[in-house]
Amino acid sequence: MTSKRQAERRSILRGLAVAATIPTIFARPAWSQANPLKITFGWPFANGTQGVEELAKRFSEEKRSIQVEVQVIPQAQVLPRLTTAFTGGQAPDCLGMSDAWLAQFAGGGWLSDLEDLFLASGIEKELVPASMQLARLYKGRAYYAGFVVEPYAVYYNKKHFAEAGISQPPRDVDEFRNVALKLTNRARNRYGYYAMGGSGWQFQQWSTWMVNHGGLGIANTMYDAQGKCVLSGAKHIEGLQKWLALYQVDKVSPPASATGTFQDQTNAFNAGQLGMVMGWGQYLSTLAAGIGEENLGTAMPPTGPAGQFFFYGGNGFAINKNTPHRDACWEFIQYMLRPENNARWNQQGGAIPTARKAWSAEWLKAPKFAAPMEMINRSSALVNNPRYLPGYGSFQTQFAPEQIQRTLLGKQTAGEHAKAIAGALDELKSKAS
Amino acid sequence: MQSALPDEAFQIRRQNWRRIWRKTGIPWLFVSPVAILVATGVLYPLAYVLFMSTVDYSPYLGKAAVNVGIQNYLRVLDDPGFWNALQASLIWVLGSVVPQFLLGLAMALVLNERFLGRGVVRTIVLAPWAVSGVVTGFIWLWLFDGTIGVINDLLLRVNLTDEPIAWGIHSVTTWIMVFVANAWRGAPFFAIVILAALQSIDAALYEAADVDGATRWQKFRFVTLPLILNAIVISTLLRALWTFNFIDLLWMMTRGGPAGATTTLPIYIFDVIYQRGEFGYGAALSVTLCVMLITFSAAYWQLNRLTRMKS
Repeated sequence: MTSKRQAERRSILRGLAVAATIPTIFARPAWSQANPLKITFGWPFANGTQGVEELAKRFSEEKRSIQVEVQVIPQAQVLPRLTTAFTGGQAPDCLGMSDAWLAQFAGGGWLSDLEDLFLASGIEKELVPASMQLARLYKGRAYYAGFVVEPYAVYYNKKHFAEAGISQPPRDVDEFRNVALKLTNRARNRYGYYAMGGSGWQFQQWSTWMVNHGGLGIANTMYDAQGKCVLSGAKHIEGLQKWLALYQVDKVSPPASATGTFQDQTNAFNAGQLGMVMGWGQYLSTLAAGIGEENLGTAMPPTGPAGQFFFYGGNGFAINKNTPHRDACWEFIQYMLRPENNARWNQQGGAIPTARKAWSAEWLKAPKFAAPMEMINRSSALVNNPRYLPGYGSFQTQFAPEQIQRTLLGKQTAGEHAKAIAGALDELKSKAS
Repeated sequence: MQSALPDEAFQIRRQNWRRIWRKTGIPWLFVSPVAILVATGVLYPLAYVLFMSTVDYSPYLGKAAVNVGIQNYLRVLDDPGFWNALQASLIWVLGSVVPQFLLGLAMALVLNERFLGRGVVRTIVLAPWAVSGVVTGFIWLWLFDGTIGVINDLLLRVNLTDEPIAWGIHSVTTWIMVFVANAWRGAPFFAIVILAALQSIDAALYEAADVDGATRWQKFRFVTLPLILNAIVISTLLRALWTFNFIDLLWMMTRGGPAGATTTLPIYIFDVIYQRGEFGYGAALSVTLCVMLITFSAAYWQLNRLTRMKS
């Protein structure tokens, strides 16, 4: 009886052991469709979240073996959040990346060098050269694959132009001043231009006047062959004085613009109180929505005695250096950069895609895109501004605004300003090397 | 007999251990989860920041941390940016807390009275406290906008000004702008705390004061004020500390401008750490700020204690 029970027990145990082994033997590998590989994608921009989520969803449905989880990172907290995530080993596998932060994160050794992936995939020839220049801004190695490229252009209100009897946007700095004067009617709280001094992207405005009077350094950078910043030259100071005169003497800009930000500028333009503003291409759709598509015109920044130069920027996709899923991330990035997907995302925001084939899209033939696209194509006029230096973020958002505010408000001269700016850029360069 | 002695001693020792265990061991066992949490959540970061403040660490440059001893602290003392930011912080705290307290006190005294619809009024008046600093910043920034702002529009309509005032370009008007915004948000906090204290005062004290023929001011001075003083001290201290560390509202409204006039210490530290990438120096600045706040709190508390002892 006892031995029979033991035998029964043994056979039950044997059965259980076999049952437990079956799933192990027939288990599918980790990368199979039933158990897809999951990658995380960080999206640190205020705009375009919906478009990215849509594309990630489509990719995950199409490519069942890889699932993309989009993690939205508030743009205002991007530096602390991503720095903490990278140092703590908790950063997403791949992420959206602005050219403004690229040097910081690549300099930290947190981004993967994408040169081998570009080489193997041959995707580079499908992207516009300006975007690839941005991708390689840090030590000449590609750390992101661009999905949007944008110039710093002039936007104007055609209605204001028509009312003032102006038929075309200004071509040089003198014309710019005259047009701004004609557009200004302070009694009606209307101004021709917005001389922006607040934190953000004001550096691109006033330094346009400096470089179109004094020129650039080697390789379109702001440094000469000896590595010294060129912005303190006499001609550069003359250019700056002309820009300052728009605010201080001609008063073609609202008094509040001395500390105004991009948001303030956009609000005032959309409220119909400004004739011309300068800014990034991604503002096109916002401005068009504000004053009406038919009223919005775009133009290149004015030419000066030393020529015409354009600031440009962009955003791209980068890969976390420590991700174990580098290939899967690259596959997702390539999907996002397919012309149809690249065009689709950019159309939603009204920005310029990086995929060359996407440039033939019908919506990009609208007149408002003509000037920005021409600017992007004129590579010899594109300014290689020092965002490739780690620490540039502080210069752009804290140092430069403080200086230009002091100068606009008459607390220092154009010469002192130029000297301070050149000194700060020299210091940045020496720290980086 | 001899063999019983060690047993007795053993029993006594055991009882002593039991008593000690009950008295100190068990309470420690109960608080240990919290103690561990505090150690990992508060002490570890503090120790880490202290360690960071002694190294030169710039991760954005891809450089390893190098021990520099007290160099970062010496640099703090030599840094004009630090002293300017400290000055701006003091203006920010004083200009924010004093009007907030006065407004909050007035609100609490009114809301403590009986009137029709008091509940609704209390809810409305206290609502701004629930609004985040960023949203408050946006609201007031647009109200004060120098080109399209409502406040300028009102001033123009009543002929108080001939042209729109660019509030954000002069340091004085910028401070006014941020003080008003912060008072709008912070006064309800004082109102809530003081109102709670007012409601705990026994009505019999006022009746006794009435019997003694006290005036309204005398009742406030000798009955109300002493009994709400604790609440005032705590709320003022808390609000001063919060305001000192505040970044959202001020950042939204001024970004530290005009020309750095409103760059307070937290804004300066944020820039040093996350934009310049100088983590070691930023940590030294943070420790200095922390030490200053602890010293301020201790001094304020002590001063209050001495005042109360004297009275």
